[in-house]
Amino acid sequence: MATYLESGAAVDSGYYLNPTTWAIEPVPAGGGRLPAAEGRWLKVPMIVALGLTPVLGLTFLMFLPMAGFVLFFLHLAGLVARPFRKAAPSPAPPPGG
Amino acid sequence: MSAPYIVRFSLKQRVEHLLTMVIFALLCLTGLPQKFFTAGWAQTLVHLFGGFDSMRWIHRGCGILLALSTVLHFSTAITGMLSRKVAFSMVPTRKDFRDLVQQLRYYLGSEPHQPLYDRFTYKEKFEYWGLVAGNVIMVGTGLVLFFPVIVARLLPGQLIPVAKVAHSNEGLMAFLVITLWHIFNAHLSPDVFPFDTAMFTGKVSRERYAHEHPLELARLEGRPPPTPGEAHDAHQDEADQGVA
Repeated sequence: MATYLESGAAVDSGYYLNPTTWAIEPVPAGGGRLPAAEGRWLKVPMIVALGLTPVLGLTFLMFLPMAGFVLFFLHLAGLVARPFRKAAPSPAPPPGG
Repeated sequence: MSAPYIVRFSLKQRVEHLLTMVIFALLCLTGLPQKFFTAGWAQTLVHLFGGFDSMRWIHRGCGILLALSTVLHFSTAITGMLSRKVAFSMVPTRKDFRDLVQQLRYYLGSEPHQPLYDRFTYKEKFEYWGLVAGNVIMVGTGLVLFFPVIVARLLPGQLIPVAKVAHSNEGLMAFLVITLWHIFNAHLSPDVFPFDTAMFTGKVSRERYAHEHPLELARLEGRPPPTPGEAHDAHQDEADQGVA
């Protein structure tokens, strides 16, 4: 079972992944302390740390242009819908109220 | 008293950038005329490079240099990661995904503050990973086009026209990304206009660093990270002093 480590904990040399922030932290020979960050850390093999690097890089490369279009069109949709939202009648008062 | 400037890029990084810049410019100048060979400007460039044959050889030479610099960069990066002494600062984290959304929402007027950045912003990481992926595609497809007979002996022949389409379109996209995105960020953005010298001198003023990379600056100076409101107020005060 995986052992999670708290931020700031003194640890052995190796690679540590923070599943909350998706950060990978190398700790040099002789050991060191994990950085202060939200979430906890998990020691991972070197191959996982090196393998995750291009995966995160390429995922971000695909995400950025799509996020740009999605946010832009959501914003436009919000602007178009704004007059209709303002014109909507106020809800009827509760019965007997 | 804090230092007036921060050293942001090492000599090796600056030389690498300069080489990439020169090689990339030459690759565009000798590659795009091959794609748009009927255009007047393309024919002018072909004549300037001494005809199609010599232009193609210059393009291949630059391609080999780009391949070598890419291999060298990857080896240095992997060696650094294996040493466990180099931080994975160019690898996107969840914060970059959030920063991107917050920054775009700020540009659209639905967020009061811009995100606070660490050593590299999401824009810099995007450009870096775009260059990494682009170089791999361009070098791979370029080698297929350079040695089509050898490739066809080992792999299906359909790979050659596929490589031609990928090389040609990725090349055009890289050219557009650099001319639109990189030129804006390095020259036309109001923060750096007319020219961001950081990649050539390696240095950035502390004032600019406090605005652009406040989280890293706080860490370097041993301070707790500022909140978005504090960073905005500090930048506004410095801007006001500059005006006064």
